[in-house]
Formats: sequence, structure tokens, C-alpha cells
Amino acid sequence: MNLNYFSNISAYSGGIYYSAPGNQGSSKLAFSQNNFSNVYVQERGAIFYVNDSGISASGNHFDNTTAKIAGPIVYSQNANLDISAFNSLNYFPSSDTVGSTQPVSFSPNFLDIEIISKNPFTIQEFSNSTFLVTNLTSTLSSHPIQGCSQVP
Amino acid sequence: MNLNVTKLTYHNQSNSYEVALEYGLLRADRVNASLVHLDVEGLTIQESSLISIACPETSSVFGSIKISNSTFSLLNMSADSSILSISEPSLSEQETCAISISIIQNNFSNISSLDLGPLFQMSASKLIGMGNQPNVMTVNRNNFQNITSNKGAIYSGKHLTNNATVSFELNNFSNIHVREQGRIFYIEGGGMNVSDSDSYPRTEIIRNIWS
Repeated sequence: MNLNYFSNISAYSGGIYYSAPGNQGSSKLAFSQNNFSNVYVQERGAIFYVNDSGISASGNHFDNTTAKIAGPIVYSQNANLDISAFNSLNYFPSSDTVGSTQPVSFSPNFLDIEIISKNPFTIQEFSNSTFLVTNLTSTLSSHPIQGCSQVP
Repeated sequence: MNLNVTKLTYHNQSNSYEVALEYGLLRADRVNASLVHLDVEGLTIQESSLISIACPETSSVFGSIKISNSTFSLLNMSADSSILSISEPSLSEQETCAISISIIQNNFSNISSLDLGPLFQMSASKLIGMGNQPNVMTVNRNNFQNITSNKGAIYSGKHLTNNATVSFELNNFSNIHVREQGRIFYIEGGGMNVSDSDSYPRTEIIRNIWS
């Protein structure tokens, strides 16, 4: 999608592009030098709402794009997106960030942490996904920790 | 078969806006068609498409269709209706359908639909471009204005396979209202699980990277 002008668009989610189903990462979206202005969605993804698509975007102007809950530009489960490049190669003169402080939001995920210890230890669970691990008596270097970010 | 249509006016001649168009303008499964200066206005289209093309059963090539310098306005679409629909009713898993669709320099305005995709419905996924080109559909220099639908006001369809691409360039989209998801482009299929809560863990990570 190149050199298009999108204005005064309202939606529930995915103001410009909506693709909830996954496609094993094989779908690619290329947006360059488009203008997006006054795009409002009631929930997520003012411009893009995608699952596992690859997104490349450069030279686009996002002006006053609003998602009431999350993702004033992009909302995704697992998009292949270089966020630093996306942020530096596009223009955001006055994008609203209601509900989110960044133009890109991802669906909920969690960090699966596995602690491998030769000695027994205890894990105490608190609210708000907070855990306390006790009885790790030896040095931390003897306890390999494996972390894996997962989506539900 | 080659088909050239130039300067066709198709207006509702009755006093009622509810007169339904049942047969459309073109049904084809293998053609090279050029439709120029169409003027379509004031029609209700029910359970059909104005232009309906289907990949043929006996060939891997559909051909091409080009719509240019035309106006489509004041159209009322019911469910399963669109201006252009592309289907592949009988392709096996391995088969493909070569096609080239060009939508160039047209005006689409004041079009409403109770369903999805009142303009372009791509219910085919095994398309490939003509002559081994990846692009199957080019939409350039059009105006889309005052369009209302439930989903995918301009383009709705399936994920394309075989690295096929759809290109939109130099178009103007304004005053598009969609009641549900995907204002301009809606790609259908199974659903992504979306929680009502937000992505605070990942959002925090992103914030840290950018700060």
C-alpha cells in the first residue's frame, strides 16, 4: 500500500486493516508513504489489527489515530515487526495515545520461567502475577534460569 | 474471449430505490475484459455482484479484468453483494488460477452494505498473477468516499497463498464507516483470542526499549 490517503475513518477494531486469523507468519503487509488522519476505533488497533503478519512501514504519517483501549497504530498477537524501525521511519505528529502510551500494543502474554535446582525450593504466589521464590540457598550461578515469553 | 465495454450507463430508471439488480453486468470464468467509463448509480444489489468472476474449472488461467475511469455511486448492497467478486469454486489443493485485476482511476461513493465487502470480495486464495507476476490485483488512483458496511468496506477476502500480492496505490479513502472490524481491509478466517485486558507486560518492554 503506497501513497494512499486515509481520512475520517471509524471502526470497532482495525481501522484500516483487520486480519485476526493467523497465517503461519506468511502474510506480509507493506505500507509506505501513506497518510492516515482522523482514524478512530472503539477498541484495538486504529490502523492495523493483525495476528502474525509481517509488517513493514516507512514514510507514513499517522495523524490523530486513536484506539480507545490499545494500539493507536498497531494491535497484534504476534506480528513480525521491527518496532524501533517502525518508530523511527514513520511520523506521528499528533497520534492520540489514549489507553496506551505507545503506538504498538500486543495481546496479553506471560513469561514462563523455569528454575533448575538440585535442591528443593518453594514458590509462593501473590496476586498480580507476583511470586516469591525461597530456599534457593546456593549461589544463583548454580541455578540456570530459562525464560520463555508465551501468549495464552 | 476479449471483451471491451466503453461508456455504459446503468442507472435506476424506476422511481423506487428498492428495485433489485439480480443479474449484474458481467459473469465470466475466462475472459480478458476492459470496462471503461461505466456509470452505475442508484441501484439496490441483492445477493449478487455487479461483476462476478470465477476461476474456470478446465483451465488454470482466468485472464484479466480492468475497470477504469468509472463511477459507482448511490448503491445499496444486501448480504453477499459486491461490485466485484472473485471466486474459485472448484480448484483442488494444488491448482492455481492466474488472474490480473486492475481497478484504475474510478470513483466509488455513497455505497452502503449490511454485510462485508461491498466493493471487492476476494473469496479465492489460490490466485497467482499473470505471467508469473506476484501481483493479482492493482488498485490505483481511485476515490472511495462515504462508504458504510459491517466489515471490510473496500476489500474483504482470504489470505492469499503462493506469494500473491494485492497493491493499492495513490487512492483516497475518506468518510468510511464500518460497524464492526476492518474498515478498509478485512481478511477473514478463524478468530484470534483477544482478552479484555491489555498487554501490560509486553507494553512495558516496548516502553523500556524506546525510552
